[in-house]
Amino acid sequence: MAQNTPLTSVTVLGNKVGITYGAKLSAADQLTASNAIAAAAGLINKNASSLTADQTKAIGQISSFAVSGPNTLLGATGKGSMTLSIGYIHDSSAAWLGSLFGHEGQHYLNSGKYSGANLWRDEQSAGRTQLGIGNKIGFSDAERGHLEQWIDDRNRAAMQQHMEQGYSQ
Amino acid sequence: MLVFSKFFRIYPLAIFAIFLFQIGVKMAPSQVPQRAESSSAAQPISVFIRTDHEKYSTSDTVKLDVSLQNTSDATVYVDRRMFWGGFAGGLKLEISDEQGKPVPSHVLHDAMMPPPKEGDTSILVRLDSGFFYGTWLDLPVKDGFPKPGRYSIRVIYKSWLRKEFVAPQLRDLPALWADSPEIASKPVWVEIERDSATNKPQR
Repeated sequence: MAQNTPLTSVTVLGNKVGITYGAKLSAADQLTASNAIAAAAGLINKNASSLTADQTKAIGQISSFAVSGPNTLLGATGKGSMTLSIGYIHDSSAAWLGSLFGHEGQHYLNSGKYSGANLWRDEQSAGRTQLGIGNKIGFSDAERGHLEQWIDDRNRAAMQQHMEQGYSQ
Repeated sequence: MLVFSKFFRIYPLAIFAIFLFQIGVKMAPSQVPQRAESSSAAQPISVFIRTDHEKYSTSDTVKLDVSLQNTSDATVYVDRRMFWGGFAGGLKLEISDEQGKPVPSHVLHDAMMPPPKEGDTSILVRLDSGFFYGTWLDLPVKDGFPKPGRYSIRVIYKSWLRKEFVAPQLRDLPALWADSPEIASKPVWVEIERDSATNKPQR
């Protein structure tokens, strides 16, 4: 249900997930983000019984959600937190947002497991978890197809590039 | 009359150009923006980046502009969305130290570009020849640079827009679709100094 004031937390599978908002975000943007996160959490909770133990565990890794402006780095920002921009949230469905809890959570679970030339497997693992969750909470055909292509073995070079930080000159 | 008309159109531009030149000459080194453009001549789009300064203190924030410039002779459409979410998000930030060693990030830049929402006909931005489109990143020095020194910054742009997932009426447009290769900017160099070593106005 849409709120009149931005939420400071949502409950996801019984766990409290704090929400913070960038200082420069307007009240309207905060409310938009809050409603989108609440809708995503609602989809996860509504379909809780169909999630596997591994999917539930991945989602449970996320303890805070930061909503930023457009000019910040996004992703798994440490200590169980995920950061997304208002623009990203605006351009994502509730199911896509909900599935990202699993994606970022899986990255936290994978921490230290993959390295070097196998970094792409970390991304593939996170994508597979995301896909499994998304399929249960309402992915569209486009979202499913988009993610399936991303995590395909044939896309390993792109996944590897995504996971590698920095570059050699 | 025609001559005067031309004069008044051109003359202010000339003064403006001289003014800009004067400002450029008087800029302190730390205030000189650093710029770099990708060199891929085969691509219709080049990625251009620049920072607002050359030197920063450890308490500063680097403002990094990135733009897609249509360097071809024809109109090209690009995805209006660009996220600082790593390679999968469309914009990948890469930082290396002076020896060319990648600087590891303490967070995972990870926000995969979602497919466009169904029926979204605003997904493409038209870029005529000579025009650009972009965004910027506010990067706190403490988050991107581990210690004082010289660093190079590069940005890679990648389109993830698949024809089959956009509105049917957009599919025949000459856009930078997902099958286009990534485009890397040339690096820009910045110098990070200790707080006490810089002599720059507060921003």
